[in-house]
Amino acid sequence: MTSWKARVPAALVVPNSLGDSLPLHMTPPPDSLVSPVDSSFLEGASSLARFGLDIGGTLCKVVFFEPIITAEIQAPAPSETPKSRFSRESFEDDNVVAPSVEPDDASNSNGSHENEIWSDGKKDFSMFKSSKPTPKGVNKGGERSKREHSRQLDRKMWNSSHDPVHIPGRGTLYFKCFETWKMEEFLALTKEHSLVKKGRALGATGGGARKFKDHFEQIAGLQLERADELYSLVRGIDFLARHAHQESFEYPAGSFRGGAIQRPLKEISDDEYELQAERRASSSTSSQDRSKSNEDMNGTEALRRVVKGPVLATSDIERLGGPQDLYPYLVVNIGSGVSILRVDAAERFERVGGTSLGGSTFLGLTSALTNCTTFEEAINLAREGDSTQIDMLVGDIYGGDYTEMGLAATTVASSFGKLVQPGRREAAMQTPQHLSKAVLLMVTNNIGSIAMLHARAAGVHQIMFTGSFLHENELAMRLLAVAMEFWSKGNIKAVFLRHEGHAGAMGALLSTLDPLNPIDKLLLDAS
Amino acid sequence: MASSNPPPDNGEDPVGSRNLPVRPVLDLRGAAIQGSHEDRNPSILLPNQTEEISHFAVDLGGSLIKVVYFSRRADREATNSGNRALSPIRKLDHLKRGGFEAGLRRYGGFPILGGRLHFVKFETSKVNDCLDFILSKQLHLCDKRDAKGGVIKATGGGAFKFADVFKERLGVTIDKEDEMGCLVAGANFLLRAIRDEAFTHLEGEKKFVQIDHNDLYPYLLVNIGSGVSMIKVDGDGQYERVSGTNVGGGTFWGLGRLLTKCKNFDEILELSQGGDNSAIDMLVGDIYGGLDYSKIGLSASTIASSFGKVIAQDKDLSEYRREDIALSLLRMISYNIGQVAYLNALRYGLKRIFFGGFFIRGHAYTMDTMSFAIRYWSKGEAQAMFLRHEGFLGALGAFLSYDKHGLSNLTAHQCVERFPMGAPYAKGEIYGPPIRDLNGKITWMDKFVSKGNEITAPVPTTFPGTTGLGGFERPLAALGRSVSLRSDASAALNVGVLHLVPSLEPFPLLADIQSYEPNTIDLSDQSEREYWLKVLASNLPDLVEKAVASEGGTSDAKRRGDAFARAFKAHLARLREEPAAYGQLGLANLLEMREECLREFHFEDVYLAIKQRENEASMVVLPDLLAELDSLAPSARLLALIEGVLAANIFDWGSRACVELYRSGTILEIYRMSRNKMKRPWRVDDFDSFSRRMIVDNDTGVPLKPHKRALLFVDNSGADIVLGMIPLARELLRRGTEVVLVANSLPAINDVTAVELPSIVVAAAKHCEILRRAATAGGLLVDVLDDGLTEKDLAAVPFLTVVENGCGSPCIDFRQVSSELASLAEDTDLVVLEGMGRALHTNFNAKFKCDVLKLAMVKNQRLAQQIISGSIYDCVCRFEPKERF
Repeated sequence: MTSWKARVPAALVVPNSLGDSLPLHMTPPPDSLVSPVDSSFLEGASSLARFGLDIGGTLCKVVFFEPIITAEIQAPAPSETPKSRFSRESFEDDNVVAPSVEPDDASNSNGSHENEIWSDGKKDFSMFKSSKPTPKGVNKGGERSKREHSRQLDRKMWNSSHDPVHIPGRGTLYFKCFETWKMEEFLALTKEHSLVKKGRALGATGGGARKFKDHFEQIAGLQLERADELYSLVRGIDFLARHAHQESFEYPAGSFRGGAIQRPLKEISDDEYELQAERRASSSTSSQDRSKSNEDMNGTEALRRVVKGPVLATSDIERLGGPQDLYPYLVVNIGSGVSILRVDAAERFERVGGTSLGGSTFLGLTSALTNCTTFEEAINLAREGDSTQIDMLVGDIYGGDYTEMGLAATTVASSFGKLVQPGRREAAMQTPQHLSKAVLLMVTNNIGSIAMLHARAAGVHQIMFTGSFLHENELAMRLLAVAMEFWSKGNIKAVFLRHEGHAGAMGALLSTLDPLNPIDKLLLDAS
Repeated sequence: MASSNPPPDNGEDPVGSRNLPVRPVLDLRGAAIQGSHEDRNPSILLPNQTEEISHFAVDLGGSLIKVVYFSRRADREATNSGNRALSPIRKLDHLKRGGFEAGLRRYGGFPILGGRLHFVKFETSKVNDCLDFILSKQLHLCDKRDAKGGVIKATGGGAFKFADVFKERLGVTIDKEDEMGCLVAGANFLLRAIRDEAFTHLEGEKKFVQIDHNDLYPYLLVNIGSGVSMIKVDGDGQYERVSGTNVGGGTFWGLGRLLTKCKNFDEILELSQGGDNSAIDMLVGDIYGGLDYSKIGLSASTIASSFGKVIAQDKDLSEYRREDIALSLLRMISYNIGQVAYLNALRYGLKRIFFGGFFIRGHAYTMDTMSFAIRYWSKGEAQAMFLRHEGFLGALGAFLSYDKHGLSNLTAHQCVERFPMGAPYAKGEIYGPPIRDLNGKITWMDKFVSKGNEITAPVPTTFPGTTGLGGFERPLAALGRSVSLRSDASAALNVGVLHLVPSLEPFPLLADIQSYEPNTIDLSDQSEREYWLKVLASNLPDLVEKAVASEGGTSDAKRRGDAFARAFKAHLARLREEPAAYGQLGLANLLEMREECLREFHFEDVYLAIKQRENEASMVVLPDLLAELDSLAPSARLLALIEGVLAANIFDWGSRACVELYRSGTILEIYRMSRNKMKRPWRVDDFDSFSRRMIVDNDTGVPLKPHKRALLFVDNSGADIVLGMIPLARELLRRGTEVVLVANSLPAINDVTAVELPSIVVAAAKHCEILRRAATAGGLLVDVLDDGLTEKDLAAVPFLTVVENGCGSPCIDFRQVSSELASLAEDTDLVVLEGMGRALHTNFNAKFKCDVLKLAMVKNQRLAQQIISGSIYDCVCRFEPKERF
């Protein structure tokens, strides 16, 4: 099964909507899937969904598990017993049956209603929308204006979209996120749509799990079951790496021109990527052809849609030789800020460091300097940017490479260093794309160098970069991969996750599962 | 402008060196170490210099140009006159006694002679100012010895960029030195050559760290320029650039300009003082609802994400406070640098991290943030240290790369840093060109008088505070505390002119030079500091009056007197504001600074007339005193002698109380009154112990061998030396002990100098055969050589001679004494320290490898209380025999 993975060139494609791409799963059995919008499934089954939340400083990441319900599962489901949930911190409300929660009537949602809270408004979450027009929403003027406000805000939402992950025979995981400051809106919706059965706790992690605990109780009547942030992260990574195929990936050695001295991104033109992509594609054409049927069968159709971007070696946990061989590794989780953990074994890890220069620093600075307001805008700006007008490069100082120290002329010596000169400010403010690029490079380079130093201190050879900062952030990933390869002379690899920002939420979801609950068991057994 | 007003530079050009024969560099270096060719060349500093010597080097950075240049001492004439006055001592050449030879060969006049290293900086955008400066000082000429033009050493990125300009305007070719190499060489030199170079900065407290050069390596050097380089240093010339970050000074400045619209670096720094970064940064508390994430050691005020709050708020840049932005930016960059530095230190197991570059600028918050990051992450294992010459590492390294001047062998005891009078106004900022003539200097002073108040006025602000865990408070968070502090921008430390004095050495008889601390009173205590600053200020009018009178009261003297008063007051104000401005502050430094300041305004010897008058008056009484002493039995005589020394020590123009006394009595009256008050026991009274050592062994009852050689560190002129110390010297000579009178090289208050002392001895010798023979044997009396004494006779006589101590202060720092004194210390088994300055203010607690007698009358109430729990006019006779240690 693994033979094709090493050969097939593929870009990391994060589709814009579900319709454009197939979910990546080993054996896609569309027929066996219970449709998410199947009213029969939802009939009295809304509480079967399992949620994990990672409420960060900027983004709230949500992982939602939709089980495949079989009669076998459904029968014993109500027989949950509190004592079985030994792993939980608090579940006092476990047996409290929610006072007459009306099952949702979701029979014809089918994507027709956009949900404002989800930045991408994907239909897969529309099942939580009531099929009936909400009388309150339609009739009440206040409600309407709120919705309008919400729509307005929606434009500023991070357009984050991730492929769902299907776990054969068990269910599907969906990955969503929204901005943390919209929490109350989210809670209102949750309540409105009875997202979760009352009494069943939501697995939550991140700082907000504590901060918003009362909000959940008061607004939505929901219990948050707090899971340790770092534990969730590590567990989530482990789970995703095992179950989502081609979840982890790395840039193959030598993807970038380099050699003796570090070459920054500027020198690795997009043309070159495409060139390499083609070269790789052609070299593996024959094998691709041979394995085409397999691919189709495996649902890897998406991989062949080469878009502008680097060649990726698809490598999942198997390619790395199984999870046990991944250890020890470093997790560099780039959210608002950055946390760095050393993971020695499945549940043995330690936070070794972090930095406050993280994703929100990028967005905060970029939005302060330009008029963009969303992460996506900022990243798009950066893609078109050329920071050489902003940054002081080694070449600006030395007139060329500083070969004695292995620094190429194009290495950034000082971020924003050129703006020290008088009269540059106004010109710089006219070029938001350059500014955005300079901020991106500043933050990313810094994370890279801190990650490298930590990797050396910890003696690890793999660094798993995760966190929402990397979402659709090809520039940053390339930069990190190049830097790791260059500074370690190939000894330390940068590894990325496709569901880069959701590991924590995934872990939070897992941590609330009860081994005796048949639905929970679906996931637990998988992990 | 600290170095912008060095003493007159005329004649600095090293004309003499041009005539030296061309010899291979390595041979010369060897020669310098052995010191065997110096008789013909009195130039002490650079006996090994060749035509290749160059006198300046530049570091052409992206935003600043740093110049280090070397000048030779101008006042050759003063040196020569000094030599003339001391010429008798040269006659000692015929004495080939142990340890003497080396000292004599190196004897060349004042030790503060070698040369000076100046540190000047310019903004890179004003490169022409820099070139003008070089032209005005003719620095470029010193190396232009052939038709091809000179070559100067340069480092920094601009070495390429400005090569043509330098060629065009100065006719010199730039020889580019590797930047990292220069940084390392510069740092190594500074850490070795300047005692108060490195300091730690934690929670607003500066603490100077004495670096033991043998225990310096390895360390991490973090140079924060536009970007940041991290260099692991294993030794001289052994280093490796291990890491760096692109988030550095240029980022702070460049990004800061964008965000705050400030025009320059310091403006942004200043702005940050009033900031509150919690409006900009996302703190752990923001994420965790105000609670600590204590599980991983993060407190609520830890910054989770720099600039993280800017996202969630739909606000324009202009809606944020510029102060908050500046602070957030500073915090982000400083902390990040600290963290990356720590990680590198961790990786290589380095305990010490030194920061260089022109980013920090003495800014307390920056240093605290970095120190905090390093202490926090390393759990106290690694230490952040900052350098006073932080910006000049590269330029200094480039200068040292000439490698022909032997400077690299200099160590701390051979360097004396001086702070010219502009220092308090310039707050460590150094600009060129300097003011060369005295008139220009006075005019400059006038100009600054009005502005000076404004510049030096302290801006009340507060200490940045840290919280226990990972938290780091904003500066304003500590407002509640009663501590008010100077403006941070004024906290920049002054950089003085480095005087290179290769003839200075540590005093060999110090028990432990590493632990030796000259100052008895710790001026880091604020009330103590305030007191002494006040004392100096209140003594100032008297001093100015004396100074003006000493120059005949001319209008020129008055102008200079006024300028001196203003300059010195400004120094005091500066020190009140920033006690560490000139390095570690001790009373000795304060007192020396006053003398230096006087010299800068050409008051060479304020008390000259007073000293002469008192010497003459005392000399009249000497024969009677000697006769009286001779009539006493040895033990009684010894007591009378010590009483005499203590009583005569009352003549101290440095003491305000004594100056009041002098107004109401003649010298002899006061002396007699003082003698009569000498009732034992004294407040500190080891006389019996001293007496036993001098007469009989306590245990065996057998007379002990007399001391072989005694060093008598003398204090004031007049009765103090004539009626106190010379009779004591005579007694020692009588007992067969060689006596060396150790006096100041340069005048300080009414202290007798090494220049004056020989003639005093000669005058005294007229009344005493013992003194006459000993002085003859010591070469002080040349004229009487024919007086029936043969050389053979003389060889049997214990000699009496005079040696300069190498300093011009009323105190003495035994880490830096003249090499003659050091060489004479070899056979010495008794040291006598006399007077408040040398025995109380400094060295009261100093331990020596030989017997030491500390004698002084305390002429200050507060000092008396603090050191000896006594009161004014109490006496100290502290004898510490060698056996104790």
